[in-house]
Amino acid sequence: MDPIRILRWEGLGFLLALSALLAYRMLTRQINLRGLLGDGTEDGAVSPERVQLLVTTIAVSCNVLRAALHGTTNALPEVSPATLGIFGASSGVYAAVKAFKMLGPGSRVGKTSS
Amino acid sequence: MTYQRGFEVLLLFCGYGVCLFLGWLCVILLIKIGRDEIDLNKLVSEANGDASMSRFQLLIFTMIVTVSLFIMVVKNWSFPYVSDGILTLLGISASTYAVSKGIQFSRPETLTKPEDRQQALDTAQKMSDTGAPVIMTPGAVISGGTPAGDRTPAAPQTSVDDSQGS
Repeated sequence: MDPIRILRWEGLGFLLALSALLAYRMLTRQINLRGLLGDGTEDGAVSPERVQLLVTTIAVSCNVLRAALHGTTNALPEVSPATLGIFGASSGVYAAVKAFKMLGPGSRVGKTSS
Repeated sequence: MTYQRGFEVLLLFCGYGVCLFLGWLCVILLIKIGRDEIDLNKLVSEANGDASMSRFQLLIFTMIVTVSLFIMVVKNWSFPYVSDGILTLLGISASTYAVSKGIQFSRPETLTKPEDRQQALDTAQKMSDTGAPVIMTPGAVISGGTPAGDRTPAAPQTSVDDSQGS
């Protein structure tokens, strides 16, 4: 068998196995995801900015992966300015809200019972 | 002609050697991850133990771009052109992570777990009850003196008049 074909299968196998391992570890809580969508306060309320960042990231990632799988040229898929704008705005909102919650007046992050 | 054939055989053996070595590396890596010898428990965790959204986003995006890049290389057997859009997406993702990290480190209490801070507070209270002066930071409790009952009174100081000649 051609070494190039062997390398191809090795690479695909490794990436698939690694992705499956990471997904399995996340689903079985062996990779800590506690507080991923929480706002860091004691009551652990869900943060809307984190939810929107997660949804946007998954949507853009799926779009990029789909374009790469169905692409015909020897280039990574082009990303439209609208997609860039949405992704940038989503990240900006997340960072701004996080900064306000952590550094703004009346910050509740890190409060413990005395 | 003989040299050409010999060179091709040598190239083939080198190719198999590289395949063997890379395959061995991949298997070892997966086995170590599976046996927890490479601990991924805190892969996306912050210093206080909670999961970080910015780390999770960076992980997902890096994996997606890596897989896309690999698919392109396997399809065409040449390094693909990386579009400006992909670079921008990676830059936004990494910048969000860096900004989030900076915001988090500007608040020291977000670097420790609530139960650790409570324990430090209780320790400081107990030490303070003994009369010892206590300094408490988000990272540690420092006692700077002896308890009140163990203190000896300071010796009275005498002043020396240096203006008189000997």
